[in-house]
Amino acid sequence: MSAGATSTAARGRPLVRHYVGTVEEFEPDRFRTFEIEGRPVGVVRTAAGFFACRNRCPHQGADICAGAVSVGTMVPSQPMQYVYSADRCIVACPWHRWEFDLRDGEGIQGITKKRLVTYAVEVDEDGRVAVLMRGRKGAGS
Amino acid sequence: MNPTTIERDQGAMTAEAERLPALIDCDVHPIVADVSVLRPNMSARAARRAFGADVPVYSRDPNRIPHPSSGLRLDAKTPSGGPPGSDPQFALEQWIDPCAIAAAVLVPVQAGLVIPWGDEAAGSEFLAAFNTHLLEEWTGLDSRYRSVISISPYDARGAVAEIERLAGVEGICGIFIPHGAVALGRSQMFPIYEAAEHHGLPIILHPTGAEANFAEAPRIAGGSPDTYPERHAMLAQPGQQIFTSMIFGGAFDRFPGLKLCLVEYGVTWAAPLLWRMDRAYEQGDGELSGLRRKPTDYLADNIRFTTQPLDEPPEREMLWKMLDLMQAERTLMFSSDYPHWDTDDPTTILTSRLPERLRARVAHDNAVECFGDRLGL
Repeated sequence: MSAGATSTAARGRPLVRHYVGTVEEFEPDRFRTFEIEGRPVGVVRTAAGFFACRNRCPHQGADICAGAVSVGTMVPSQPMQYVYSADRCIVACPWHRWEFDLRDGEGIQGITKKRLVTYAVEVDEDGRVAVLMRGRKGAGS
Repeated sequence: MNPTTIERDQGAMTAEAERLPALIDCDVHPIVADVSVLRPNMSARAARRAFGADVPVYSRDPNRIPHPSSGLRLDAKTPSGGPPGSDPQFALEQWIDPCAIAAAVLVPVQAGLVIPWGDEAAGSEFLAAFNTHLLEEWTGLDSRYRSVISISPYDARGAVAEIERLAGVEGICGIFIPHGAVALGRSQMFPIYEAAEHHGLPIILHPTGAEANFAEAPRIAGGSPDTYPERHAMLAQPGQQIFTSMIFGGAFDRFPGLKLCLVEYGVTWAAPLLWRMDRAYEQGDGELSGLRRKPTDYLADNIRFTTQPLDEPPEREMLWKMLDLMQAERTLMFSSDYPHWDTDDPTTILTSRLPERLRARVAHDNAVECFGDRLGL
């Protein structure tokens, strides 16, 4: 349904579909976590579609998929004014509450130059959910 | 940053962390989810003052500056649904074991609940029951948990009695003073410091959450903050006041073996403040003539800081300069603040934020020099 950005670093290696369940097995806005090719991966169903990311916050390595998922977040505004923007689908780390856009992994409001690692997600005609990942270097896939 | 880079960095950081000596975490927070469990260890009179008929008194105390989402880690609720820090077994599984922590100093900020109490005797009874509970439920479960003696800054006589009751108990490593509006350099505190020095127990200070909340809580100068970020950014202030008051008040002259641990007040302010204090000492027209040494000279012998929350300047070399100026090779100890919202990950802090020359000192050596055998290592 929706696709996360993939890094350029692994281009050249084939995309592999990893099926992680069916649509109805995903409670809205609650990550389910998996280990795929040795990597911790979280998959979430939101009002804006499915997203997948690495379950590791770029800040200090926390399990970010235990954090809150929301469509939208507070954006910069004047003191004591609060402005909410619904343009982005967000995961907030359960530790320091750093927020990342699940579409491309970008840190919200420039809190860090590092990106959350995201993966593309596909849902097929039978409602099966797959995470698309490049095979690991030397993994032969 | 691409995924490959992150994996390589994480792997290198983990390998580097594994080469460090045993990790000591100087700030882990236990919480008693239901303080009414303390009632059996209190007199009927004190329990009535503490708990009222049904509602614990402290729960009536308003917090005018709550955290916008939660002051606790959202992934640290206990398996039974309890608040983070309320299950010592779960804390072992989530934090102590995975981080290979050899000793964890328990800092019970909940003890700060007594700060607004007017009944000093009831407050001391509450703290005694609280101390016994943590010793039994946490240190009794696993000796890596090192307990502290929480005492009231408003009841020096009661505080000394509680220190004498517990100082010889295995598992005790320090004395926690939930800071109120009492300047800690005043002579009314000296009986506490005398007992602390006698028993080799460092004095531990840590924000309790009461700052700027109550008339008798530590104040934030210039007016109370309106938002949590404002309050959080200003928490260095009470730490600076403790630091200045205890040095200029002569606590370390009277008790040269006394150790002060400033936990979670920040660290990068220490050197610039000492420059001002040194000059004030020199130009003080004799008012500070009772001090035997200039303020900077007490730092390495008497004062320790902990890392979390470690300042994150744009370039880490900026932090390294400040750490050198505050003699971090002697004065800085690792702390995580688990399970609070701004927990610091030890691998990240030790291998990515600190220079290599400081890592072993911060992870282990400085804490051993401060707490000695009381860490149980």
